[in-house]
Amino acid sequence: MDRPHDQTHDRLIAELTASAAAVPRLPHPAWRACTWLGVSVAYVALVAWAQGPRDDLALVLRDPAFVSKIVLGVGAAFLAACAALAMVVPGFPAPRRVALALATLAWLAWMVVESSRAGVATPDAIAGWSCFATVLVCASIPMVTLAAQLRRGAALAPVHTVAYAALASTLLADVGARLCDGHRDAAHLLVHVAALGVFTVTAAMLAPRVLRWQAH
Amino acid sequence: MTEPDRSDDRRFGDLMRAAQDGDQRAYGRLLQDLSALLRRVVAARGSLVRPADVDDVVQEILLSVHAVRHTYDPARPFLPWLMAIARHRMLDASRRARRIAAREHSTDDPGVTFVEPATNPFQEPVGDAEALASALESLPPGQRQAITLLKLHDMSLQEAAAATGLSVGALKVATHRAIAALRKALVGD
Repeated sequence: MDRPHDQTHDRLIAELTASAAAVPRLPHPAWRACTWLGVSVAYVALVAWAQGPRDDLALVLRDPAFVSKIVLGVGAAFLAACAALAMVVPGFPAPRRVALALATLAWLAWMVVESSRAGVATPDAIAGWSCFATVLVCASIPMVTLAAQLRRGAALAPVHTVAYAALASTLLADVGARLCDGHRDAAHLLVHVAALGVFTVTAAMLAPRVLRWQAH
Repeated sequence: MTEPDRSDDRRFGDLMRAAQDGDQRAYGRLLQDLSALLRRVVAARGSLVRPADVDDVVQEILLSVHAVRHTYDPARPFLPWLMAIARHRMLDASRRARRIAAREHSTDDPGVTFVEPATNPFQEPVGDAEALASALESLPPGQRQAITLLKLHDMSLQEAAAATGLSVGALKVATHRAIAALRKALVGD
């Protein structure tokens, strides 16, 4: 004779089987990150254009050091987005996730070093807040877009996943802010790092509400 | 049954690929096969899951597999995908068990508790378990699932929402309706 648990179990399998319609497979995290990057770069460029690009933009775009920072920023944002999207795929190889995390952290370390070398100018409170706001505005839509993509996956580690998503969004927003502002002193760079930290920590705290198992 | 090998992994992967394309027969077979495998895996993790909870945890894993089956990539091995889900669900179960153990206190004299007939001389008889089981059986699947997870498995609303993919609000509504339906079936008003 079947135990009650066996009956429940068989009934569960029957119900799951009966409700199992065809489902579209989730594309590879890198492809999904490319989609996100396309939408987000367009949005950040739009915000930069609306706010007015920095006066010397044409000049600095000829500077290899500036261009390399922009490329590095976009690349790090892409890697962080890949890491976030990989985390919602059960069983995605851990070494790749670790590599992506290390790349992102290396970029952050470089940012801090750059801040410490940029001099000790007096912080301008108004310009600082303006910069902070620009980063947050630039990060908002990329974050919403990435959160929507993450919600299609499995919420295995919500806090880490959302933290990476916030990191990706703010890294890209930082690139947008660099196109609007000159970053002539350490204060501005620290404002960017602060915006990145605030946005990432806040998003991580809201993670259990943003990311949970979805019914399909 | 021996440990799963590469051929099992391929077979599971093929069944899941067919299930993702809408083949319900393949999906049913996959879930049956996975149930046996998961029972052994969960039972072997005695440090995380109490023996009495093994079946419940297996069912939670199956619900989770169902909810995120679209995340499986047929180009990748199946078992790492499955085990990642199982591991997280077992950790959830372990955390839940610890939380419940921290809240509960054992007593030396169960005769004084409310469930003993001697302490309830004026209470009407609750009715028999068969009638309750039958009433539960007659509930719609959503209501039955809600009442089973929240009242029988002692999950919190958040845990049940995570296991089923339903919102907390939807679970509350389903539970309320289920209790009303059970009352009507058992008491008749």
